[in-house]
Amino acid sequence: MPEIIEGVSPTRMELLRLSRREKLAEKGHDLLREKRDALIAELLDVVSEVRNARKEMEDKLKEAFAFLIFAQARSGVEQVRQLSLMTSQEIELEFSSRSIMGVRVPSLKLETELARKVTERGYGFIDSSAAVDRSARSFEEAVEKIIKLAELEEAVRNLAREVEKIKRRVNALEYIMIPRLKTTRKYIRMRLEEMERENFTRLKRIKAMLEKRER
Amino acid sequence: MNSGYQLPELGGWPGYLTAPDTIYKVDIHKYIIKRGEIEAMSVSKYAYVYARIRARMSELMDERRIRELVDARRGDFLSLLMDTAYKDKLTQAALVEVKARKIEKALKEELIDQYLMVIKSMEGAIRDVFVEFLRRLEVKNLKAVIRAKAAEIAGTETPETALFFPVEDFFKRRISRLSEANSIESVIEQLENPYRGVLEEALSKYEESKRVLILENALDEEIYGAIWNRIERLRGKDKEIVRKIIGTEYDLTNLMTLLRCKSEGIAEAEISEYLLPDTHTFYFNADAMNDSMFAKDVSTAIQLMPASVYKEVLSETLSSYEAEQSLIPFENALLQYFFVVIKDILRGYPINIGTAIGFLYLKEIEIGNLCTIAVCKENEIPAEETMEIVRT
Repeated sequence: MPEIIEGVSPTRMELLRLSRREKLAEKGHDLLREKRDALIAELLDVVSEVRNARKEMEDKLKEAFAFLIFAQARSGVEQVRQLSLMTSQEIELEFSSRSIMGVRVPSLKLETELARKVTERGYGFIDSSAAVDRSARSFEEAVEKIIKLAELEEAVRNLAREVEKIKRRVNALEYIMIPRLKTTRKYIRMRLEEMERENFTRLKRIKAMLEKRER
Repeated sequence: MNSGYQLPELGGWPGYLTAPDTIYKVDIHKYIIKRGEIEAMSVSKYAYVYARIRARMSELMDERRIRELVDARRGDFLSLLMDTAYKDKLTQAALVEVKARKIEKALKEELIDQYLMVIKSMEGAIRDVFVEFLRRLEVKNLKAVIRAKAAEIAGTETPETALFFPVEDFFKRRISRLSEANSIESVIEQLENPYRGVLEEALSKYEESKRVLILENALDEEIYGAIWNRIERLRGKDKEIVRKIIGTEYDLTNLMTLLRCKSEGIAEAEISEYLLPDTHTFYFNADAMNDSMFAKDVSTAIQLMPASVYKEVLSETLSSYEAEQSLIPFENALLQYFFVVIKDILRGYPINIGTAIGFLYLKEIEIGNLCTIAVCKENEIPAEETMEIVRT
């Protein structure tokens, strides 16, 4: 049995106020529940996108590492290590945010494409090979996929946090606030009825006393 | 010597070379005078070199031996490798497990020993050619320093210094010390010619884009040009043989550069910058190659190439390229073709420069194969996949 709200005076005004609060709480509860359900649906969509993006990233990395091993086998471990020094690049990212059902999620935008042409990477043609090119390209594409995945995973984290928050609010309304309001309202109504009965009895007794005195 | 010289039987050739059945019976002096084949060195000297190289050639691994190494378990690979001509170098490397990088280092040292053996045995213009060949490794060392500087790796933080090709004692130039320089400019300042001149010339262009490719290109043009100049000083059959091998190598390098650029849509004018100027079969910047240079994609570039053996090799591989959308099949096919060219050279008359040059290339290919197997073992690549990469 939920507790009643402390310090409430059992008056009709309070009863009306509580009724309004209860209606509001129920309306809020319904809205929050709807928002929670919608957010969960969104979350599931994004989770599915994350799953696809992760798979794509893993496939790309697997491909890149396979080409890397091939390049090492063809050109030598040391040669490929040296060439890899040339392929490093600064990644410029534009950070912004977008809204999914009122939840701010990050948006990462690459300022420039990471996949470069063979001549833009910096290593020479003589000491490298088609396998080195292929490996470098696959890694560049993999980094793009990692960035996309990071964006989606952060969106999932934010959405999940929001769903959790809303779930707590819905539960608080459903299991604490609304029952308490109901109990308190019930208590006030009972208290008012009791007071009414007391008054009625009191009035009846006064009336009886007055009639007795008149006689 | 004058009345007829019988060359030793050629039974000791590695199994994958088709050993000639005939025993050469030729009057070497007559041969030299009439055909002008090996004027650069005395016959006796050539015969001596030939004998030494043949002895080393018998140590080259045949396909069966390579297959054995490929099929060996990771743990057994090292012990099988210790049972080869590389035993001493591998023992010095104190290997306890398969470490591709360490194996690579040990084998590189062995390759340099072979180069030095050939250089010491040669004289005159022929020796100069081999010295320039060896200088390619010095250029590789220099490139490594430049790459480290471009990547802003401090001298003390370059753990791979030990992996440089150990050719400093031969050339008396301490390239590895340049690792301690603060910048590429400082590296260039400390260099001697021919490197200093070509790099200074390329420096301003490098400064604009900060692409090491520009400096590497300048070094490549210098060394490949120097080799070509040395070849031009040879005479007769020697010149013909070296021109064929090196020219083919240059052609294949240019072909792969062209295809790599085409596959990424690089403009024709830019492609020309990366091509080696000296070639064997066709001049890449000439009209004959124009159509290929301007082709919209790789397949069209091949179709528009002038008729040559390369075109045949590439056309045969076109379907694999189209299926895989990768240039690797072309690279494999061209490398295999180059292997055939070397083997063809070795099949010919053996008392000339072809034996030495062919041996060094085969040695390089063998070392490449062993490094490939080591990398595959380290990464647990199945034997069948490894066999697709090794050249036999």
